[in-house]
Amino acid sequence: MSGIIELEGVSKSFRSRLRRREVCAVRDVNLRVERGSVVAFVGPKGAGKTTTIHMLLGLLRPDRGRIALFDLPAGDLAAQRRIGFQSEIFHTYGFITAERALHFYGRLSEMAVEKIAPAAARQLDRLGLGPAAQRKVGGFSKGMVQRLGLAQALLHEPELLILDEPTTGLDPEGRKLVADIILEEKARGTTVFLSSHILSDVERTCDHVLILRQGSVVLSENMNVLRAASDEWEIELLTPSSLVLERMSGADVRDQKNGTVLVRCGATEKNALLRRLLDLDANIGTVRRARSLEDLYMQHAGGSSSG
Amino acid sequence: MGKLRVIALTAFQETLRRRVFYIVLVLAVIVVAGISSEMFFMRLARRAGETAMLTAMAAQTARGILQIWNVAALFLALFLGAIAISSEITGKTIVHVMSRPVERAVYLLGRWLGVLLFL
Repeated sequence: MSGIIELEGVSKSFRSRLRRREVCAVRDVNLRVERGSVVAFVGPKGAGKTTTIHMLLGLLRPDRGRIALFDLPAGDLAAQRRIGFQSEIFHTYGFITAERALHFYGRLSEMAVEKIAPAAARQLDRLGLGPAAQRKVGGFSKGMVQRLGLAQALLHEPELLILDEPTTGLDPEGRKLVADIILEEKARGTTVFLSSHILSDVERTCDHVLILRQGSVVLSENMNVLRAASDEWEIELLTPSSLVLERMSGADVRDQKNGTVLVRCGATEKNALLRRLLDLDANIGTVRRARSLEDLYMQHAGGSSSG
Repeated sequence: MGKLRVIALTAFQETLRRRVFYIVLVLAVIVVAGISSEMFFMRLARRAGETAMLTAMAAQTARGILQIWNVAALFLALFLGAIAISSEITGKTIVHVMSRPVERAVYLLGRWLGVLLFL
């Protein structure tokens, strides 16, 4: 069975205004998204995430390579009917009400007129915008506009959701709502392609993670593999004495520069190490599982924001 | 064609909210003021029994109004036509339209009809 999204050797570059310098935004990207999976697309700003998404939607044409969605070329109307998309910042017309905006997008997605109103009411309620349905979008807060953006992506119950940093401008409550909705959609069988740099959300919702750096995919890994590999623990020591540090030499000790120190260990050594620290009367802050995704991200994508 | 209708309607509503619309309003006020002053003189002419002068004045007024509207419509068409698509690109509203199953021809036609409806 072929994947819902397939990219083979896709490259895209842009020319600067004076046509002197060519900037390569996406370089030889290969990827495949299976039906029903939630795939995270992470990377620093300027890594080429949005360019890739715009190519998937048929808004940009790749210079080289092949893009297929549902076995159809990108930009094919039959493929676009099955996609729900939200951009990083949802830009819409300020003079229409939230309800009219959803009617507009519903019509563009070829929904039957009589089905739009109930679907719009359902999505607005789901995103906590029910009371604002009759208000003009121009008077909405940034977070409300983003929620409306998600509502219009979900409106026609698409098979594939493409979300480009959907939590931009959202408060913690809104971010949780988005994560919950992604999990609900996954349970419904929707395939989700999520671009994000909120790694905790990615860890919670995704099955597969792709790390993009300077236009190239530098890591493609199953989240279960990553979770299993993260059998490492992190013990935080608050203002440790030199004696404690001396006794810890040989262990994986990382100075946090704010007076705290992180000691890394495997699951099997954790208890013994804690016992030793308690004997030394060390001030232990927290004991937690090491955040493998964040480490991987820093290892693969960190240290660069150009591209 | 539901898609064409909603695109044209939105483009029309958008045009109504542009600042250029106020220029048209000001122009309309000037035209109305012009007509009423002409009417005043025409009434004077009628009272004086100058029928030949009256018809000439009426024709001239009608011509004047049409000329003003002609020039206004020309500039409006130029201005609105020029920004009909570019404003959607700079405002990025085009992204959420063209990522849906909308043919480019339908989109262009819809935007054009919206401006035409206004003119």
